[in-house]
Amino acid sequence: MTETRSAEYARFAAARRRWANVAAIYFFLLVFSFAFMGPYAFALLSSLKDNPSEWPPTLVVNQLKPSNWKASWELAKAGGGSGLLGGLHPGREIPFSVTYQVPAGREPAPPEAVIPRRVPGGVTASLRVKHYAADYT
Amino acid sequence: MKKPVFSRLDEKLAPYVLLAPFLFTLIVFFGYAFVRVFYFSFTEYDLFSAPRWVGLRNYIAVFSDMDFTRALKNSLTFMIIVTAAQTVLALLLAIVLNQRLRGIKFFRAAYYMPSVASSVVVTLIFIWFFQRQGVLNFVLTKVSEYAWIILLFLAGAAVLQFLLVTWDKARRIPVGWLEPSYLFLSCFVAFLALFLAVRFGVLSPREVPAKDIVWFNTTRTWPKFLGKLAFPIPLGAIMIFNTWTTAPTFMLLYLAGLQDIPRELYEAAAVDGAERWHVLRYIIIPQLKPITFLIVTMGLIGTLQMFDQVAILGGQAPLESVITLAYYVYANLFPSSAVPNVGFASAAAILLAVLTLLIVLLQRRLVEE
Repeated sequence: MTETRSAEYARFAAARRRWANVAAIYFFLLVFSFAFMGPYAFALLSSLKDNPSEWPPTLVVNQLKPSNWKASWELAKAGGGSGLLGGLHPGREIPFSVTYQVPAGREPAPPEAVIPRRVPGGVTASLRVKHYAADYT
Repeated sequence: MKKPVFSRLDEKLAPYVLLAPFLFTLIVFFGYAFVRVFYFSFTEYDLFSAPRWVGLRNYIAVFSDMDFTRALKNSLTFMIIVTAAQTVLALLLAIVLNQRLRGIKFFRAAYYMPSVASSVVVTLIFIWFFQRQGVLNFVLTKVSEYAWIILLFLAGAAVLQFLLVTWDKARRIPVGWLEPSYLFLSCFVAFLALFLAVRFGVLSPREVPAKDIVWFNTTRTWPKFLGKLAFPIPLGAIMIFNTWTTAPTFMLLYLAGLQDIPRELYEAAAVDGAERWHVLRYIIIPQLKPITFLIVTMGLIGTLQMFDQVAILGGQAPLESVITLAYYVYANLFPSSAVPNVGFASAAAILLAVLTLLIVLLQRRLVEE
């Protein structure tokens, strides 16, 4: 009876050890993968950022956030009618929000939004444009 | 039956014909170039006027140049540390990768990435990592913040391991103090407990000022207790990323060697009750001896000739902290805003070649013994 229990335990211990070995190997494989691929992955993500040398460094890339894509699509649609190409057509209403800091104890002054009267750079385009968004504010 | 004369001639000529392209390259681009460099090393020559024989003056000038002494010291330090580090790391990686597991091909490809990428790209990524406000200083700051939690994790895992093994031993179950399954369980439980404690604010990392280690633009040396033997910190940074890029190539050689070790040896070791350490010490390392010789030889030659990473680093680090013999030769051959000093650079190149040859011969003698 004791021998049977001992043999059963030995089998169980061997299986347990085998699984522990597999787990340990995968753990080391992942650690080394992180060491060898990590710098490339981080460089790739940072190449998409506005400021790749930001401090503290973070893995979050604003350009890859679906919420930003959605907001950008909606803004472009509101401004120019096309979510993909965007633009700022006369007479359009564009909802936007802004967060700003004021020193403690000072009353926050409402911000003022100014739309500049931008003339297109090309000669043909500048002659063709008749209406400016700035005229509709 | 006697073979015709032409047939016999063909047989004798065939190897030379097949070797001809390689021999041509060897003779023209290595043999002839070496003889020319050897000749120039005894002359004063600036590429514009005819060489003028000066005897041993260039060699004397090289030995009395402070930059040569610095380059020699940097090259030897670099050679010893990087060759040792990349050989050990390559062996370790090969042992980990020499498994029949699901997804192992992905890991093999992933580990080989640093060797595939261009040296320029890798160096630029690392220059960016080693900036004062770079990723490495950020990681070191985080390690410093979480240092006591990491220590707590290690202590917790050790206590759990002790309790589990003691429990089994009390029940007369034969387990070792480093039983792998319990080790895994202890680490997992300790990690989970501390993760939850930090997540819910029971424990919090200590506040430390951000690490501001200057990795490149410095002449400081490390470790201080070695005195004159300490190496410059910028050279240490190059050592880190040079090891990172070369170890995977050598890993492939070790992996091929590991797959050639007969399975019977492992089976015999298992029957004899050998532990993992014994398998490594008495089977793997002796069986891989010829490959280790090849890897160490290639490592010694490669590290003594290291040039590109110093050149790409450029003005990021003071030259005296990173200059190596290969870069010293180049800097004298094409000095900025000065005429080339071909004779002087040739003398330094010949000394580098002799040094490489002597070190490889010494290594071979040591291995034979």
